[in-house]
Order: sequence, then structure tokens, then C-alpha cells
Amino acid sequence: MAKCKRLVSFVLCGVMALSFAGCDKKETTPSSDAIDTISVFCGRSASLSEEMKDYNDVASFQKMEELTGVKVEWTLPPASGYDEKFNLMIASGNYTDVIVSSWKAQGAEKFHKDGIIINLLDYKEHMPNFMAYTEAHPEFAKDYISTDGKLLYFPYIRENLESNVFYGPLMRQDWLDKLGLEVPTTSEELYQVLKAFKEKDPNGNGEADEIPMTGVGASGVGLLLNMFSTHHGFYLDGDKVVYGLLEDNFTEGISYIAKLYEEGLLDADYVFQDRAKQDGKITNNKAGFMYSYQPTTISNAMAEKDPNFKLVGIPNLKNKEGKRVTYYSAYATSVLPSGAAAITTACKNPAAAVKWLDSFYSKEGIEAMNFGIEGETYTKENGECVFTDLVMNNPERSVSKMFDRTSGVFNSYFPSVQLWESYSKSLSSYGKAAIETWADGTDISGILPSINFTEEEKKKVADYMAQITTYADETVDQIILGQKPVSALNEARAKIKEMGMDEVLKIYQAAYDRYDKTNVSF
Amino acid sequence: MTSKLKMGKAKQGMPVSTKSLWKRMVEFWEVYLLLLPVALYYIIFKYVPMFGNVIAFQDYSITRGILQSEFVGLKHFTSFLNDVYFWRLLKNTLMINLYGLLFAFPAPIILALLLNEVRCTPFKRSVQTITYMPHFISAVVVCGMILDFISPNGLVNSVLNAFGIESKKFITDPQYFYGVYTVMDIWQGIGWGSIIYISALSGIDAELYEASAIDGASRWQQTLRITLPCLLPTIAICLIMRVGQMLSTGFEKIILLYNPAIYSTSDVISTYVYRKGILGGEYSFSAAVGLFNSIINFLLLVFANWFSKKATGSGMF
Repeated sequence: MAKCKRLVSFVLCGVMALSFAGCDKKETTPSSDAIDTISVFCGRSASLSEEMKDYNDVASFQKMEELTGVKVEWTLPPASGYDEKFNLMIASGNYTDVIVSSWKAQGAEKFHKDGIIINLLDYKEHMPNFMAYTEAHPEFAKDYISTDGKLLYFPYIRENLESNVFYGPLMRQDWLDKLGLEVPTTSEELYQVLKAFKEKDPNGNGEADEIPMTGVGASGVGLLLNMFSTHHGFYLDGDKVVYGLLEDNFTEGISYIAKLYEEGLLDADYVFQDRAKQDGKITNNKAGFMYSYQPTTISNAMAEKDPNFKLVGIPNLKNKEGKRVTYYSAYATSVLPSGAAAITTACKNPAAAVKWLDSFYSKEGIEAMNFGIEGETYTKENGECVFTDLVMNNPERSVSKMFDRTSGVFNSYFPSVQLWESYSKSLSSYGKAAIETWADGTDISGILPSINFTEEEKKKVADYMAQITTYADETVDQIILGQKPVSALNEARAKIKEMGMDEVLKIYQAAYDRYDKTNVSF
Repeated sequence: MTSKLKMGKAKQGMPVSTKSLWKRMVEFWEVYLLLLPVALYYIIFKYVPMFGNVIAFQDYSITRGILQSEFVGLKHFTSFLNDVYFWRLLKNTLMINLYGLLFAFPAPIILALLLNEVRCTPFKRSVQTITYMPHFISAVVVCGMILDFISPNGLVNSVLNAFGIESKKFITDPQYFYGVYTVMDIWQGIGWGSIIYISALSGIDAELYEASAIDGASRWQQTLRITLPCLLPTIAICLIMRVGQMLSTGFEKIILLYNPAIYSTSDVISTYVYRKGILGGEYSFSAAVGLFNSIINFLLLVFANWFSKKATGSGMF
């Protein structure tokens, strides 16, 4: 009998424990007319600290609630579980009114065809602000309007070039000063400077242990190719889509890099080291030049250790025609792939939802999303928005943590327009200086925009490119390391054509032409 | 006296019931209840998902799900087999495994045999602990350390230079990859792998040794004639299991160690499919390759088992 009782109590405990697992948050469906609540599914940004329940705790969103009168019910899966939750929600058919996701990468067209999200242009009379913004900035429109003239999501836009720039050439200004050298602007000047770094002992320890240039992988080192008007992957030559390796100036570029490696001017470890090792070489006074991210972290770390340490962003180097060309794609990514909001077919009042999302592109909306609440987080001085001490000089929290709590566009998790005026205030002086140097006068016309492929095109490209990139990356690295001569490029070109490169270029060109011809008036 | 030890059969001293299976299950229901969660785990998480392999024959689309994705038959398999790099990938996968079989497989056995001879117990235990610690270090850390050691200015080259040998390009010259990978494998796996052999060795009847000593056998002869034959069933099982994993070679360690300059020897099936997957979100393709690997592994397993039975008299099934 005792045995039976114990068994029963165990079973009851088990049942109780299991029943808790079934509890889940219910989602409220909005009422039929003008809405006062809306449900949004969005990734939980890492910048939302634990104490904040959801984005309603961020100043920008509080102001937006005041402006629009719409309260938001957030469903925020953490970044690591986002895909799973997203797939589960789609599979269950139980969608929130709005879903914020990387729609471009996911292939929004697919979801529209399957009846999950709506074409926002059906409600275009309800989005005057967004239409006005698009008319004022037609260069962005090609990115978010689909090739068959639909608008399937509201995008996150960075209005100014500087906001896109976070990567570029960095050099030890103090080494240049010590050796009495000018900042290099061409490939020949760069070669001379690197040679001087190697031979003239700028770190002053009496040993020739300097590694003039370091980098991470072929992409870090490959930016040297920009000086020869070429690049590792696909880019634009006028209106033609080209693949770097097939072009003639690629040969010159690779020879230059191979020469640097051979003469010991390029770090032998670039092939396998990671960013931590690379940065370590800079902070250990071994390396003098690299292509990397803006130097805030490194500069802050070195400020106490060595007051002479100056790692600065130098202007992007010039090509033969004297133009500062870059093919680093981020520079041209003004419309971000993430943070885009689509409205689902489950939304009971899509017109109101469109109106609500549209308010994030109005003048007041953009100001609120960038600066927060007037009087509290910013004030207006001479027509300019200035952050208050609460944000910039808060004794309890760092500037970047205050930005997390204040500016809704600081991280791209919800669609609106990010302005350099607000973003720049969150940067350190080191970062801001580097970014402005890199953005100044840089020609980004050769960067291939993020074009859309159809599903069959995507599959074909993936199939060919898996082999092609394997072969191309391997050959390029072997040439730089001196294992193969530069003439191996000719063989590589033939091999790649055999692997179907012509097909791939045709697909890319067709996709680009479609993109270019997108009708942006709606 | 023959000692055809069959693994997993007659256990000395246990009562063998003569009732039917059902009656036994009722009589020892607590034991079967203990087994139930494990059995359910295997059924739900291993056998049922096998039906998902059907996506290897479809053009699976996540929005349309399994039932509505287009059926394409063997398209992915042919695309894989016709891939320009297929033979290279297969060769690299098999070579890494071959090196493993030749060098990394015997290493724990040798260690176990050596440790078996050690009389000083504290020494034996400390060697055991030290050798199995690397097993617990995560692959990321191990590979980071290895990259550091074999870099052009790293530890290994410094040591070589001290002996007057020129620095070798361990990480950028393809010919060194198999060696580096195998050494890392041995370093990480030798201690952990030796556990099972040490325990098998301790199960060998001491009388056999005594009897042979009386007959005048030297230590070496004892090792050859007693220890190894008694260890053979354990070795056979471990070998069969290892062969059964031949085509699914250690993906994480390779991804952390390789770079494009050494693709020619380090790019294996799983790393290539991974890169391809990133470009295209190719669920169906990876499922097809995975299925292909599993089928080949299974065939190898069956063959190895049959061979082992023929050669040593013991096998896994």
C-alpha cells in the first residue's frame, strides 16, 4: 500500500510539472476599427539589457506611442532562437500583425505568394510620409521595391554615407611621425611606407621585428586590390557586372600583394589568424597597417598604456586615376537587410497598421527614433538636436548604454531612418575621426548593390559558386603565398569559365539590369 | 584451451530466466520502466526523424514544408557526385581517416599496454589523468592553440630552429595537414581512448599470466600471446565503430584549422557542403549528402563487422 501511495504522489508531481510547460503568452488581436494596440514579432536586440522588458522601455518608442496613440505588444525571441521561433510561427499559421525580420534575405516574395504577408502598396494612401521619403531619396527605393513593383516591407534606412562606414585602412600615425613620413595615398607610396616600417625600426626596440601590414584572411588583405580598381568578388564596371579574378587589373593587384608577402611586408599569419590575434599585433607594437574596424576599442585600450599610440584611419587609397575607390560592400548598404517590417494577413486592420509604420518616417517620427524624447533626452538648439547630459554624461551608464535606452535606431531592429547626426554622437572621438576620413571623397560607384535573385537563379548561382569560390580562394591564396606564380591566374580563368562562370555572370547581369530598371514611382 | 570470448553473451554468475519475454517484463517491471525513457528517446528523436530524410529527394522549401515541396528524385545526389571537387573531397575524407586508423587508433592501445606494465600506482594514475585532460578541452581552444604553435613564428618552428632545422610552413603548405590533424587527434584522444582498453586489460585472468610464467614465457611473449588476444574483441569493436564514422569526419576541428591555401588536402565532404549551404540555404542538398554518407558508413560498418568476425571470431552483431 505504501508503495502505491508513493507511486501516486510521484505521478501527480510529474503531471503538475508538465502542465507548467504548456503555459504560453497569449497574443491579443486588435479591435476592428482604428487600432490602439498592435502585435509585433521582432528579434530581441542584444542591446536591450535584462532589466528592460521590451522596446517600450526605450525612449524613442515611448515617444512614438505618444505620437501615434498605438500601444505595441512585443514578442521578442532572443537572437539565437529567432529563426526557430519564426519558423514555428509561420508553420502554425498564428501570425502577429507585424513581423520584423531580414525579409530581403528570406525572400519576401515567397512569403507573399504563400499568402503570409501583404503588398503594402495596396494601402499606399495611408503612407504619405514613406512615399514622400522615397520620392526625396530615389536611390534607396530600388533596394526595397521588388522587381514586379511591390512593396513587401518597410525598410531600415541609413540616410548618410558615414553611417555605413565602419571599416577601412588604419595606420600608426605615431610611426609615420617618428620616421618623418607622409600618409601614403597611392600603391607605390604605401609600398615605400611599409618598407620603411620594416627597415627603420619605428617601434624603437632595436629589433627588426615589425610586421608592416597585418590582416585577417583574404578579404582583409584583399582590399589592397581597390588600388587597382578591382576586388575579390563581383562588382560593377560602369553598368557591367564583373568578377574580379577574370579582369586584367586583378593580375596587377595580386602581383602587388604577392610582392608584399615575399618581401616580408605582409604578415605571414594573415591566412589563418583571427581578429583577436590581428589586433594583438597592433597593440603589441608589432604591426603598423591594416584594414579593419574603426579604432575605438584599440585606442581606448592603449590610451593608458602608451600615450604616444595613435592608430588613425587614413583616407582610402587612390587608384591609378587618382580616385579613392572602394568595393567594400558595407559602404553602399544604406538599406539594411535586417530590421524590415512586413504586415501579415492576420492583421485585422492593415490600413491602420500601414499608417502606424508610416509614422516612423515622418519628420517627428524620425526625430523621435533618433533622439528620443524632447526635453528629456535631447533639446533643440538653433534648430539642431542636441543630446542632454542624461545621455552623454550619465554617471551611472556609459554613452553607448544610454544610446541603447534612448535611440530606437541605434541598432537596426525596427524600421525607420538613422541619421548620422544622432549616430555620430554615440561614437568616441577616435571612431568618429576614422569614419569621417574614410567616408570623405570615397567613390562607391563600383559596389554591386544587393540585387534580388529568383529562386531558380539563387539555386543555380549557389551550385556554381560553391565550386568557383573554392577554386578561386585557393588559387589566390596560393599565389600570394608564393606557392604558385602569378601566371597561374590564366589557368584559373580558364578553369572558372569551365565551371560555369559565364552562366553565373549572365544571371548576375540580368538580376542587376532588373534591379536598375525598377520602377520607383508609385 | 580456447577462449572465444563472445562480448555481451554469457555473464558468469547471473541467473538466466526460462520464462517468456512477456512474463519476464512483468516480473522485472521496475527494470523495464527504467529502460522506457531511453527507449522512447531513441524512438522519438532518432528513428522518427529518419522520415525527414525524404527532403533529400525534394527541393525542400521551408514555407511549403515537406508535404508540398517538389519531388526531384536523385537530383541532389547526382549533383553531388558530379561536383568538380567530389573526388578530392572523398580522397581527403578517406585519407584523414586512414591516417587516423594507422596512427591515432593504435595509440591508445599502446598507451594502455604500457600503463599496464607500470607497478607504481600513483604514477599510473597521474599519467592517466594528465592524458585524458585534453579530451575535455573544447575544439575551439585546441585549434586556437594548435594554430599558434604551428604558425611561422610559433613554438614548433622555434624548437626546430634551435636544432638548426629551417622553419616549415605547417599551416600554409597542404602536405602537412594530415600530420597536424592526426597529431592533434592523438594528443586529444589518447588518454580517453585508453580507458576502455585499460579496463579490458584489468579483466584478463591473472592465472593465465601465472601459468605462462611457469612455462617460461618472457614478458614480451606474454604480451603477444596473452594480452593481445584477450584484448582483441575490444579492439575489434572499437575498430568497427571507428570505421562506421569514416565519411563523417570531424567537421569542427577541420573548419577551425583549415584555410583556402590548403583546401587541396583539408577540404572534406562536410566542410565543402557547409560552405555550399551558406551560399544557398540548401537544406535538401545537405540532407542528400548526409544520407549518402550514412549509407556508405553503414555499408562499411557491416563489412568491417563481417571481416572482424571472420578474422578474430568476434564482432558487434
